[in-house]
Order: sequence, then structure tokens, then C-alpha cells
Amino acid sequence: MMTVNDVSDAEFSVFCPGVLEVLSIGKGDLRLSVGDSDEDRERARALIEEMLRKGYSIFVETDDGPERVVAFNPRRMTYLIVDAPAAAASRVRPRKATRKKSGRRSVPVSGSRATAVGRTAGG
Amino acid sequence: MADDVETVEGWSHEEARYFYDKLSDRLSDWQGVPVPLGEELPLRLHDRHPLARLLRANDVEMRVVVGGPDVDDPDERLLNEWYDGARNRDVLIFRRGNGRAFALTHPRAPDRSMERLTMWLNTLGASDAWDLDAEYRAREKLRGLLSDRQWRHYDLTGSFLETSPRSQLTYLFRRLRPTVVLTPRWKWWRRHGETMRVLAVLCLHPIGYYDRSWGGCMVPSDDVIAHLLSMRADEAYFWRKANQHEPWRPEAGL
Repeated sequence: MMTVNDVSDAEFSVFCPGVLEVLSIGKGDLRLSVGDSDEDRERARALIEEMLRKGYSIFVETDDGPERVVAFNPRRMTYLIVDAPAAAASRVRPRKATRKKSGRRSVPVSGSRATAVGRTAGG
Repeated sequence: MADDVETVEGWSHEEARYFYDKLSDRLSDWQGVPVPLGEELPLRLHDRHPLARLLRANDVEMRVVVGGPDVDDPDERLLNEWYDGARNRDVLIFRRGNGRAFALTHPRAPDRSMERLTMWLNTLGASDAWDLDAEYRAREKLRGLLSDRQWRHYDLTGSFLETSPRSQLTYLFRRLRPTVVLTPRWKWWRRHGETMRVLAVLCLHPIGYYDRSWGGCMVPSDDVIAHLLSMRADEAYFWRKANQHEPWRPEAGL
């Protein structure tokens, strides 16, 4: 019979594939799943790099809502997003006129949910 | 069935959509290949799209205006055009094949209602490029992004409101129309209670759009998703990428 200590020592490994949805003309919403195999990761790496090169906008879901991907780290397989200050903090006027340089934050592709939108033509 | 109407190439619109969808699969172009709808509805693609030059070449450079261009002169070209606000008319400058230029004026309706009607009808025409199943899938995705009340508004009226926590601006997202940005900040705000004013009308289509219409290359709800995600993720980016229309212009759709 399993005791409380046994439960605390147990390890669970659950793999969540990354999901990249692409807004598509003919399909409306094309869903690509990024698996854990080397082949899948290599395919996803090439795909994301190609999309960013072609000017797609990629929006990845985070705890703070969707954020726009500004770069991609192919080695670590992470999206890079701008680490924007919190909404409440941004409304507070800084005492000094110096502008703080915003940093970047990484979001792993694995387990993420992102939407890619083609380059815009205005309207 | 309306969808069985033959296009210029002899295909039905359904066949054309199927062809371009398969072509995008063959090219591994995930965003899809835009469906051309002939010279009546020329496509305006973003500058770096591989088909932008090809489709631009098919644009009609000559306008049919009463007493205007000579259709038998293949070298006659439209040189320039502008809107004359003082007389509410378009001015068009043509050059004939022999090098001589001439001007034409084209009066507009005082309230520009006829231009709105033209855009409305062209938008109906653009629907030939959209696949119904693609629209249903886009609506499902959009539904997952909205609150129940927003979805109810969108489903019943084709529009919904969302206020940005960053800027406190309220956005009115609309199907087949540009997004209207409203602000409560104006000088009579306190005096008249909770009223808002239009700050801007933002138009943005991924990939491209059909000229003189409110329709984009993608199905209508995909365009709304693009607006919504851009605003939520990076508001400054949304404003930077979108074209701003004056609220009184027909393109604004107000």
C-alpha cells in the first residue's frame, strides 16, 4: 500500500507538445504539433525560423496573456518575447527621464501554444 | 448555386479555392496562397509576397469614366489621381499614346454613400475567395479567445468590445470592417458622463486584401483574430502595422 512518503518520492513525467496554429487562407486555422522526437524538433526549428524570416507574426500564450515573439533561439528551442513592464507599473510616471531598456524573456516551444499570422499588408 | 458560377478561367469558385489551397500545400506555404478574383477585384498583397508583382501586373491601370479614356488606345495610362476636397470630386490625369495628357473629374456623392455601397458590393464579391469551413474553424478559434459576452456580441452582431489594460483604450473589433479605437479621454468627458470619442480607425489584413472592399485574403474571422492578438500581445505593434483611416472616409466603414 502506498504511503504519504511514497507519493512525495514518486516522479511523474508528462510531455506536453507545443502547438503552433497558423491562420491560413484555405484552412482557416492550421494546427501544427511539435513533438518530442529529434525529427519533430528539427522540423519545428526549421519551420519557426522560416516563418520569422518570412515576416510572420507569432503570438505565444503566457501567464500574462499573448505576447509577440521577437526572436527564436533554435538551440534552446525557445521563443523570445519582450519582457514588458506590468500594465499598472507602466502608468506610473518615472521620477527620472531615463528610459529603462526592456529585457527579453524566453518561452519554451515545448508545451506552449502559439498562433502565427502572415505578414500584414495594411488595409 | 451561386458558387457554381464560372470564373474567367472557366473554373467555379469552389474549384479555384481548392486549387489554390492544394498549391499552398505543395509549396509548404502555411499561410496559404491568395485566391485571385479577376480584374474587377484586384488583390493588394504586402510588398514582399512572392506573388505581389505578378498580381499587380494584372491590375487595371485604366478607369472607365464617361468621356474618358480611349479603350482602343493600348498605350493610354492613368498617370495620377487625387481627391479634390473643395469640390468633392476625384481628379484623374491620363496620358494618351501620343504623349498628350488630359484631366478628368469624377464627382462624388456629398455623403460618399455611393463609395460605401461600392465597397459593400465588392466585399460581397470577395466572399467568393473564402471557404466556409475555413470560416467556421476561424470562428471556433476566436470563440476560445473571447469571453462569453464578447462571443455573444460577435455571433449576433459581428463585433465586440475590449478595453486594453495597458492604454485604457477601448477597441471595437468588427467582422469585415476596420477596428474602431475609442477613448474616454476628452475635454467634455466629465461634463457629459461616460461618453467616448473615436480616436482612430485601424485597418490591417494579413497577407493582403481585395481592393476597394473590406475583405481580406483570409476568411473574415481570421482577420479579426489577427487584430485581436496584435492588440493584446503588442499594442504599439498593432498601431504601427495598421493603416489609419479617417472616421468619415468610406474605408473606415462607419
